[in-house]
Amino acid sequence: MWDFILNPMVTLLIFLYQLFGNNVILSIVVLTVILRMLMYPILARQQEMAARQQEIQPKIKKLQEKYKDDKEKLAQAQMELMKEEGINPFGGCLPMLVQFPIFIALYSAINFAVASTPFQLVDLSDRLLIPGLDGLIPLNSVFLGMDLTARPQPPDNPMYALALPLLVMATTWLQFKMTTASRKKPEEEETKSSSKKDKDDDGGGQIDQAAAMQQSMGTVMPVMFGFISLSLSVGLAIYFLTSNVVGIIQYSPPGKKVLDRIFGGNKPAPEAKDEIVVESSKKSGKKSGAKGK
Amino acid sequence: MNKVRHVARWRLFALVAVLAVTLVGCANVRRGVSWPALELVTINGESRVLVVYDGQINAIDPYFGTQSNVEDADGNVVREGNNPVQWTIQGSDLDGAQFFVSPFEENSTFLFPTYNNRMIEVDVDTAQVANANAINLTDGVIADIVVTDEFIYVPYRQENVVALDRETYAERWIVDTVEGVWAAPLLHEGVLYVASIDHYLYAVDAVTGTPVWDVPVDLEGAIASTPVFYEDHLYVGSYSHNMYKISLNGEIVDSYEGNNWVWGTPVIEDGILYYTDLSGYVYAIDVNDMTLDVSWGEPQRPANRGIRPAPLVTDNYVIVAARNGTVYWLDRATGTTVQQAEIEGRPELLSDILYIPADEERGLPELILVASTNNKQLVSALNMDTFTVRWVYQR
Repeated sequence: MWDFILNPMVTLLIFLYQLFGNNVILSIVVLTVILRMLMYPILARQQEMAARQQEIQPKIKKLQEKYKDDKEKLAQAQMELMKEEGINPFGGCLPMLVQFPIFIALYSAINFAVASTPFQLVDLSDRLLIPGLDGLIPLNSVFLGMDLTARPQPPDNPMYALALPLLVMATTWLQFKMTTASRKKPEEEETKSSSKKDKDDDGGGQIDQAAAMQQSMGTVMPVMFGFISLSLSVGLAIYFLTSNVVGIIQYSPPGKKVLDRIFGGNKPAPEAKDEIVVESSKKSGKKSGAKGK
Repeated sequence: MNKVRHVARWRLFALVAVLAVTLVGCANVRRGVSWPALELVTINGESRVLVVYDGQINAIDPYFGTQSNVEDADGNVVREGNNPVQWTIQGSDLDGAQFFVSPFEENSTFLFPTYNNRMIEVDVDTAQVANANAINLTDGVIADIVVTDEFIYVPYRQENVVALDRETYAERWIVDTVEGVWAAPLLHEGVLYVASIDHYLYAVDAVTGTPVWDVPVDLEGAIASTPVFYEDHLYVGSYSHNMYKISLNGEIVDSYEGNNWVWGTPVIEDGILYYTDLSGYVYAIDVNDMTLDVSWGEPQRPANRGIRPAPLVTDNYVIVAARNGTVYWLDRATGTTVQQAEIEGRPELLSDILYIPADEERGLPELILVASTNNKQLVSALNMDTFTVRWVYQR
């Protein structure tokens, strides 16, 4: 099944290698940029969903206060609210799931394409979908004295290759900061108010947890990608680095403006309503609805 | 608040760890260097097969697949305490040395090139490493070395073939290639022919290292097999899908185009050249005009996956081992598949087939040995009479 995604990617990578004068780094960079551009609409949707979820946090907090003794009703009310606001609760996860196989395929493609041992290379022969690319094999897998197929650490590579995982960590962190920058202000306000509230009751717990999760992500993600880069190959570290740099450009205000223009831009979030009505609660005939103010 | 954060952080770490493991596990990545080399040798007067792979070298009985023990001059098993001493070389005892090629044997000593830039001398009978650090190389080795009275020609994994002085192991000269040499060089009438994965076939004077041809021959694709000499010509395949016929003055005389990369060394018997490719085809070519042998009609495709090793040609059969874990016996006259045997677990069979003649005195059958990189089916022996698996050697 993987071959369905993997073989075109291996072929494209080697085709780009030919196109860019047998430069494997350039071909990895260009393929990464192409894939990031193709995935931009999905990423933009993910961002949009995240932003809109942030926007409705005050309403969710009100619901939490209202239904603090009835978790079932709280969940129902939250679902209703999300439906009303046009937010898909899985909107943040699905794009990640779509990216996952593409990421694995690209990672595998890089490993196959820059195969440097007989055992690795013997599997490449069935993966080239365009005739004539065989003549390019083996690809030049050495860049600035580093073996692209080996881990970026001694003794597999020179000491200076360790800079790559560090760069991956730094750019992952920077990219994360840029993606969360737009949501930072409301989040901070929310955290402050919920911290205060913690002293009185438990209502802001979930918001605190979400904020804590997000803060943790900022630490965990760079460490994770740094660790993966360190454990796998130089080629993959270059992919991560390129992907992060493209992400940083995409999320920078000028870059986002240009890309939104190309891909049609994000739809503005619906105007926040103050009144929250839980229809299902009404139907049940029990204590119904809630007025926000 | 701090407690909430703490719990959230640990949950996230757990999630990320699972994701990272899944990611690495899901990725279709082949890790490894090469495949096992099998060599039939004589140790203490007995036939043994050396299984040379990765971090170990083992001597096993060719007819039963059992691990051999070290014996003294009287044929008694040497023991350490109650345990017999096995004929095994452990790479872990030699700074993590890895082995992928057959040794050269001389004066009761095996000379094993390693992937870790060294050559190791091993006593044939006792399996004692005599000289662990004395012979240093500048690169790893994944193809057989060639030895003459004066030189040891060592093909390097990343680039070049080096000619070492036979006595001192000092470097005398090199054949300068752009990429690695993954096939043993061919020595013929004072000329060393070197096939490199840089697409070129080089010819140099075997004594001085001086190029014999003005320019190396470009075969339009990586060359990973040793050329074969037959009636004034060289025959070698490349990743360009072609099998080439090359004159001794370095000109491509003729070629035959197949379906995929050619990796295995061709075998020539009675004017017919047999070879395989990585689409699973087996070819029989008339060397005179490099056309398909009329009795075969067309290339045969017994396997649905590639065939890496060279074919084994006997009086009646052309035997091939495929990446789908199956061994096929093709009728040598017609090319039709007459028998096949599947190795349990269907491991990729990438090593060259080793033929073991029958031991008529002991009533032991004629066998062929195939090897994979799967330690559970590292070597399998197939009975040539029954076409069934006789034994499996695992680590």
